[in-house]
Amino acid sequence: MDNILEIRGLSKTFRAGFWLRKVRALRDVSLTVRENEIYGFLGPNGAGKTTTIKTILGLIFPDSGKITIMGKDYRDISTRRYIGYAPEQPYFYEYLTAYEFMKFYGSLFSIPSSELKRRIPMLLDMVGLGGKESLQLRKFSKGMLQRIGLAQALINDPKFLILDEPMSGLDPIGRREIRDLILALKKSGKTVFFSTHILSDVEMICDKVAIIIEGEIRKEASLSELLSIDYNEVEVVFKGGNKSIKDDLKKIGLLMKDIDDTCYMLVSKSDISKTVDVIRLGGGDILSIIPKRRTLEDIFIKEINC
Amino acid sequence: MRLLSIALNTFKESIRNKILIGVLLFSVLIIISTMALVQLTIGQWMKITVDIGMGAISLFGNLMAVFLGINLVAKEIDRKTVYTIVSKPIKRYEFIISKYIGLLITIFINVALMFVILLIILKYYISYEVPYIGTIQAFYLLLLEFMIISAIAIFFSTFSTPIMSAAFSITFWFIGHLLSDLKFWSMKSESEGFKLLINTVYYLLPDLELLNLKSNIVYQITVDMKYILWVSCYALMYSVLLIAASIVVFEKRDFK
Repeated sequence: MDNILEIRGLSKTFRAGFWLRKVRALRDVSLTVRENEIYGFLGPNGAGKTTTIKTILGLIFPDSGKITIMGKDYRDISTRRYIGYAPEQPYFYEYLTAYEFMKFYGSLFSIPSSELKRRIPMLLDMVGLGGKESLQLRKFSKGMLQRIGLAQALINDPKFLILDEPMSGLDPIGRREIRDLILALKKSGKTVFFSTHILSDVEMICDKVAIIIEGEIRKEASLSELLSIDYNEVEVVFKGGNKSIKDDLKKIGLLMKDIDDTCYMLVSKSDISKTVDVIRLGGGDILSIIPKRRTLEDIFIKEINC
Repeated sequence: MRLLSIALNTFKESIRNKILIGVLLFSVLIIISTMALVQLTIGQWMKITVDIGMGAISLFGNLMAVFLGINLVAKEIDRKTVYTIVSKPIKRYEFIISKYIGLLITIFINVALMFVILLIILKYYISYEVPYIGTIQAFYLLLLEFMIISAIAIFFSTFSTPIMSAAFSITFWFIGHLLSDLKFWSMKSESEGFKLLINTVYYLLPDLELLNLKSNIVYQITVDMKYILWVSCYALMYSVLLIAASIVVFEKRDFK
């Protein structure tokens, strides 16, 4: 698999306020997006997600660092032919109808009219806006604007999609539809890089995740790696045993529940053997020992508090 | 193709702007109202019609150049629509040039409509034998003025807020029309420093009075084609320089 996007040592400083004080927006950001991946770019508000995306797209010039898109320098305008971008907030030309809007973006890629005639209704259908071709964008709701933003990002049939907070402003059904759409795009061979601060979106669909906090990448790993490496507790479930078992176990770990003679307890990885011995000696039956995986939320909160 | 798309989109955006339609209707009404005004005057009908008509065209064209011009780029940045354009395979200079072309198309079509109405009133209502060459010359030079003012407005809007850009552009328009007088009076001054200052300003800023031939319609005067060619080059040079400066600023701008 080839790398679609490679960022190395990206830094950016802005000047803000009356005294033009320096604010570091990005510090030595490095990340790699591989072909056909769904890459979640996770961070709280103001962490530098949009700044990174804008830099990739040439909307902001970095102070230092290197960005390569499909092996070419990001400033090479030919790379943009293969990119589809949907911005965070759906600000578009509101006096245009949905069809005119899509046609305009298609013409920026010099796509022939005959091809646009075929592609536009298909894309509008895909994002759930079928039949809204002649409606002006100023009459669109926020969710509809979010959807047409996604449709315009697909007008050039891009290999690489960059979506800035694609699920914001959508209701639960809309969020699910967009998640399904992203998965369908991956299935059709596309690479998707999307930013979000909503953890469930990432957990559900991403192959790889980067966590950015205060302009720094704190973690970059595949979702499975990220969720499996960071656990050090197990949940032990057992049944029966004499009365002293529970008192002995309370000294080792945390007894969480005791329902109908079935006990659930949480012990650290290093205490597994000791716990198993206490249960066996006390005449109890072990039903299961399950590693207690941390959720993405646990990891995220830990990184924020670091 | 891409440039044309952005230019046409700019035109579409402008003509669907309700304020623009309102101002256009108002200006057309002013021109049509000359038909009533001439009924209240003795003689000088043609002069009144030409003065008011050409004045309305000039005012409307310049207002459009300033207010559409300052909004074209600043609004795209402010409303973040520029993000989805600049992230496509479009060079930043292409964006500025096509916006400028779109603005000129909008202004030219609107003022041409007003000009045709004025000609119809002059010919069929006042029954004036319109001196076509002189009239077209005066109208053409007005278009050159709009070309410069649009470029000034776009230049300021690449780095300033819409309100500041409007203030700067209107100031330039005023100064541009006063430059000839300023130069004339500075020559009578005894202060060498003042003369130098006014001379410098004169050669730095466009002298818009060079483009004012409105009275030639009334007096049935035509100017030499060499003059037309010279002022065309003069207006083109200023416009190209201003658009080039806009591009330099826009190329380096971060869209935060």
